Amino acid sequence: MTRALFCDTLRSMRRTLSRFISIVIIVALGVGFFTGLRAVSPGMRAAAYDLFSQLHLADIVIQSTVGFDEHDRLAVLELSGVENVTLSRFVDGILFDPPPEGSDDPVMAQGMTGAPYVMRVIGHDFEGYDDYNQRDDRLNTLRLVEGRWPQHENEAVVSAYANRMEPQRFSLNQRILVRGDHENLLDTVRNAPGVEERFDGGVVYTIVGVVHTPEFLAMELGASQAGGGELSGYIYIPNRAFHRPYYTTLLVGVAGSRAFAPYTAEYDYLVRRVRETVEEEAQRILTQRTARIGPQLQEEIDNGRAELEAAQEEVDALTQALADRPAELEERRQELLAETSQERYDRLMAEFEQNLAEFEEARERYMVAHARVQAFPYTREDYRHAQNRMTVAQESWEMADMGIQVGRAAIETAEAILESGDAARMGNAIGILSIYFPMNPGDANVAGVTRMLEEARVDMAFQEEMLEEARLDLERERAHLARFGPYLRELDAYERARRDILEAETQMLDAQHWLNNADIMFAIMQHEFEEAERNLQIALQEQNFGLQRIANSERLLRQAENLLYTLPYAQWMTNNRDHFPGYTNFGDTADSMQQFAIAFPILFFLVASLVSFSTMTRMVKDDRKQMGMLKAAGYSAASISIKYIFYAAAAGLLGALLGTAIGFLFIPQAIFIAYQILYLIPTMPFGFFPAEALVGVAAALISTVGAVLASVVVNVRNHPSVLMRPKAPRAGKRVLLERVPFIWNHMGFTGKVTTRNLMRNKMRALMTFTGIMACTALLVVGFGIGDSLGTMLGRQFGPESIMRFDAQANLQVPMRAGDTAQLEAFEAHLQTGEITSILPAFIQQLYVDTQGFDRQVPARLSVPETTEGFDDFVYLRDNNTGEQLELTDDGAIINGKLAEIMGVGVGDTITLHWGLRQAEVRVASITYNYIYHWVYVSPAYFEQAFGMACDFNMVLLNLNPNLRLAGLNRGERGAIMEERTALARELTDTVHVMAVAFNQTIIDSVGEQLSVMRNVVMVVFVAASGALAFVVLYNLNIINIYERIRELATIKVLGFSDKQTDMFIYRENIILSVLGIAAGLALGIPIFGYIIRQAEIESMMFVRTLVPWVFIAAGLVTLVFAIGINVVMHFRIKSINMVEALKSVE
Amino acid sequence: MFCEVCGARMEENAMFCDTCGHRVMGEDAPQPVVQQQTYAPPPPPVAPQQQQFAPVPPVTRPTRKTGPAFIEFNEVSKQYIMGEVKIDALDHASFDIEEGELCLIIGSSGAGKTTALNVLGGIDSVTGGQVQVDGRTITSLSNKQLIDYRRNQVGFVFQFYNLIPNLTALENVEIATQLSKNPLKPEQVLNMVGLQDRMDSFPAQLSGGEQQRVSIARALAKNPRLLLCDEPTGALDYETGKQILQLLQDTCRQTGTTVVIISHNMAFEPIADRVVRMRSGQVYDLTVNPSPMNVADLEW
Repeated sequence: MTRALFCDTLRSMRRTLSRFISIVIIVALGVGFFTGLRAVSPGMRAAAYDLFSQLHLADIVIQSTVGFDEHDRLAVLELSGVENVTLSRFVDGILFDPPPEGSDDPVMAQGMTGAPYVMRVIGHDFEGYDDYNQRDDRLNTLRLVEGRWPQHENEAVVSAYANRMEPQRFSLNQRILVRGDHENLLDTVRNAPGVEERFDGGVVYTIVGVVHTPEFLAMELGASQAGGGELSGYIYIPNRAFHRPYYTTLLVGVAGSRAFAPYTAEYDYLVRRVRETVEEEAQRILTQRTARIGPQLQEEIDNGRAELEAAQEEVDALTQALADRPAELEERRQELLAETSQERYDRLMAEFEQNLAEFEEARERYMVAHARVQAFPYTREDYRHAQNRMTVAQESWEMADMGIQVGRAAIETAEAILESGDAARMGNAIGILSIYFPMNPGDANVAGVTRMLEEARVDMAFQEEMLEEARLDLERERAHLARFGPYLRELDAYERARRDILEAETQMLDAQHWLNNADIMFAIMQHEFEEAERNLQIALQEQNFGLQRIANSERLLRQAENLLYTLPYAQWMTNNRDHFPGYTNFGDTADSMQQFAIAFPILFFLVASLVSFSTMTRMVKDDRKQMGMLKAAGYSAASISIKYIFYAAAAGLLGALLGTAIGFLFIPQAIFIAYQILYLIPTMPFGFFPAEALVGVAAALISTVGAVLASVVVNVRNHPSVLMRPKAPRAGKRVLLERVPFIWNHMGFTGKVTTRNLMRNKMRALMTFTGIMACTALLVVGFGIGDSLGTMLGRQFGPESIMRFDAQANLQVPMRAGDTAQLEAFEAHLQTGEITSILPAFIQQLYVDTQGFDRQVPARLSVPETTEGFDDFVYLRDNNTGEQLELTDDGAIINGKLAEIMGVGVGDTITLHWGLRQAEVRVASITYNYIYHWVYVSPAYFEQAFGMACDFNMVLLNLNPNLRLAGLNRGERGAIMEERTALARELTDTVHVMAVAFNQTIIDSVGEQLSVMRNVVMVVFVAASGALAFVVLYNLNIINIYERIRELATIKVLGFSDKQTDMFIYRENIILSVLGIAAGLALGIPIFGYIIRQAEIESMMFVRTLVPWVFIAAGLVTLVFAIGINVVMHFRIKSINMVEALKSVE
Repeated sequence: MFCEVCGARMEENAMFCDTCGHRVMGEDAPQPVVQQQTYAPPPPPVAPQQQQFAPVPPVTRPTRKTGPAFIEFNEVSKQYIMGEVKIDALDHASFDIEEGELCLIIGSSGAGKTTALNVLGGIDSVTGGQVQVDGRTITSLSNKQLIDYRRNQVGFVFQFYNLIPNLTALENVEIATQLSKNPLKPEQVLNMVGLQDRMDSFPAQLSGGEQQRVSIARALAKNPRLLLCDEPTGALDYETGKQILQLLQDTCRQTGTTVVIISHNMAFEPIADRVVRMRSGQVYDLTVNPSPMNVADLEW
């Protein structure tokens, strides 16, 4: 290349800068799309690998119906291939926002589907988090993004994902309240020392940090036993806050697994071997565990019962004591009402007045009595005096009388002795006489006695005289006293009157007092009443609280009982990383991106090369004269060509480099960011993929340099004079259509010109046609996928679909065929019509393979208790004919996708692996199905295949149509949601039902993801096809206009209006567009068929049929693109300067 | 690259100066093939043997005739601004043409005659002055009215024919009649120009003269009141050129169409009813020829 030629090359680049740039851009677009899309899938895998290995995602997850303890951990750690084992536990609760200012009631938070926000509180070991080495032996570790680690039991960290999805929900230093759903959270976790329990049974957590976690990748977080059954969020709290002695999950790290990237066959193989070991040893370790906890449980239950009884008694007593209180209170209230009324006051007044009157009366009576007493001439003193005198007289008379009696007796005794003459006794007689008579004692002989007798007799007579005197005296005094009689009676009346008046006065004063202080009294009474009322309320609350406590301990007791009951059936659920929400889907997404990355960029490449080809050809054509001149000047064909090759190579390389840079830098990140809506993978490492870059550069060079070579070689070989002469304009030619005069003669000139033009520029027409076709086909694919994603759920779940049942209930213990005891929980609801029908079934995740198939595919086995009426719950249709299928006893029905993956057909045999059991089953029919793989088997065939009777672990439920949510908006759902939740709760509160899952929950959560995916797909496809249509149509139209500028100017001079001139160009476009759209619609069908199969993740079959709206939309959107280009061209055509265009000649 | 005549900047490889219309003759300038094949160097000016009209002293600005003429060019200016340079393609040019006349506009390259024709044809605008055709001021028509004017009033004949390559001769005529309000029958017009046998040929299959005849037929078929011809013989040999001129003169005579022909060839002057001579955008002379010569008698 001479210096002059080099200069010319550079200058021609500068002069045709816009053309150069347009080639660069087109190439960059093609290469960018290619390399970028190719880099997405490996980039996503690398991102996942980074996260999983840095945060030690567990390889195997074990869950047990009886929990784990440290013994289990050590037992599993001893198994071969196990590197480390971490115990983990959680509790699910309902999220509340702490009460707002001025309120005591916390506000229940709602999840995205409107159900209660179910929050998983996960115990995490934060010890040693500052030391990397110490963390290495733990699994599922966290990475702090913001804030700090929790330090005590009431601090928590929240996922960065939750924080991003709902920034208003969680923020640093925010306080949230988690309450147990029908259980006390404090039964499981404790508050930090010094933190008081508030909001009965809830725990308040302060968010102190934001973390990344490897275990929740997707927005869909899985199932929960609490709330609406769907987990909405999760927080991590310090492990030591949990005070129950068991763990819920056992995380296992497989030795050497970190050497392999996730989602690879090597990794899967390694983990699967260890998992098999774990499964083999499960029963042994479980037996040890059940042996350990059995007695403990029994003890716990016994204690619990005792406690419960005691508590019940207490509450009963309280209840009894309280029983009459309300009635009493009511009585008092009525009284109070009466007592404090005006009426009552009036009554008080009346009472007072009556008392006053009584008092007056008493006073009158008293006055009368008093006057009467006063009227007597003597006083009470006189009466007492007379009484005394009479008493004295009486006593005197009695004394005298007694002396006489005694004296007589002594005389008689002495006379007797004397008469007897007994000398010995004379002394006695003297003694007696001398005692009773005051005389000198005589001699102790008869004489002496006789004398003394004589003397005594005299004395006696005297004494009798004295007695008589006393008697008279007495009678006198008695008569005197008797005169006091009337006086005493009056006195008595007076005394009574006095008493009466005193009493009346007291009463009157009392009444007066009441009357005077009525207001104060009333107030006091009111207060007393209120006090009583309050006391009652407190007592009632106490009672209520006691009842709650009882309910709580009853539940705990029932849980323990259930656990004990199921202990013999204890089992482990072993999962690999599929267990972690989003793990599998992320891998499948990466896979489907891989498929897109093949189909999609090739299309773009093709278009880029077509466009650069036409542009380069045009350039060479324009330079014909110069080429001729150079050739005439003696330059060789090669050195002339070098200019164009250099030009093309420069454009191609520049475009390729630009495209590679943009492709690797932006496209994976852009798509990754879009996917971050669905998956929480924090960052995607930048990836450079040399092979892809090389392919891109090579393809870019082929399409530019190749195009140049093709047209240069053709031209440069010619003789200089030929080159220097302008290429004769292509002659008009007759087209086939002209042979059909009927049509031809009815065509306008534009029509004729158009028809001939189409034939004349076959290449360009073909390219336009191809571009439009590709655009339409892309749109068919894009809308088709969109429709597929959008309608898949509706075809799988709900009425008129496959899975027609509304909910499924897990039984605590599998049910024997015909054993209706466990179904009693549903009876009541069947009676009320909330549940319309039930069907026990055995649904089990298992693995399927077949002869000559190198791996096992996870699938679900479904065995209904009876095949009759099964179609009310699951409606099976033949994959090909669409006819309804009956479940028979001569084989299994499997879904189409499963049959497709394994390459089996009707009559073939597949093997089911259920734990250690295996069964060969014959494929009887193949059914439609979209989500998961299913193997349907009748119970009889199950027995035949597995050699054991089928126990049913599920009950499928059909709900009353009033309880269905489909088609309702969030507002309308509210009440129904509550009813459903209540139904689920009532069922799970029975001993038989473990959990209830509603299909609508799946539809809502999966539906949300699917709609995000659908929107992403649609936007990508519409944008891509739009770019395609624009690039192709714009370039070709520009060339078309450029080539026909004289024609256009001429017809404008002839008086064609703008519209007519436009039509001169448009007609061609329109025809090509219509043809291209038609072809694209047709072409879209097989492409869609291919891509939809490639894009499918293994566990799903997308809807593979296209519906009319897809075609209509694809056609219309393409038409809109074409019209858009035509609008741009309109201005281009309008700006043609007739004078300029007609001046030159070619 | 700059124009040798007016000095205006020109595009690389351009064959004509945008400003003055000068055709580049430089050594390295690309030579249009057509030109090489068909261009006959203009004959040396011949002294008129028969003085059919008295030489009129040159007038730079002829005064307007009284009473409205069919075409009135009134102080028309057309100024291009190229960077800092202003170029006057038309500089206060004024002339009239009566209805039914065959008018010849004569001038060397860059004299402004093509610009004048373009303005007359409604495909170029002016920067000053007025042009009236049949009482209508076409310089102030809207775009839409201009299209209508071009469609119904004017027939254009180009130096390089500008036929639509994809249409046959007949169709090329029909494309015009399709637009016009009262067109002539295309076959009839082609008959008129003597192409009855080549009606179904594509332009590429026709000779230059035949193509120009199709072009004239296309212009005539619209039954225009005004036929504008831009160097209609420029790309043709002598005989063919003469035939074309004859055709134009006959058309003028037989149909009463006003015909305006642009030429740099002063030998054509005798055949015209009216001759407008231009130089540097100005009309410096206007001659009315009361008894024009028949083309058949013209020799050059």
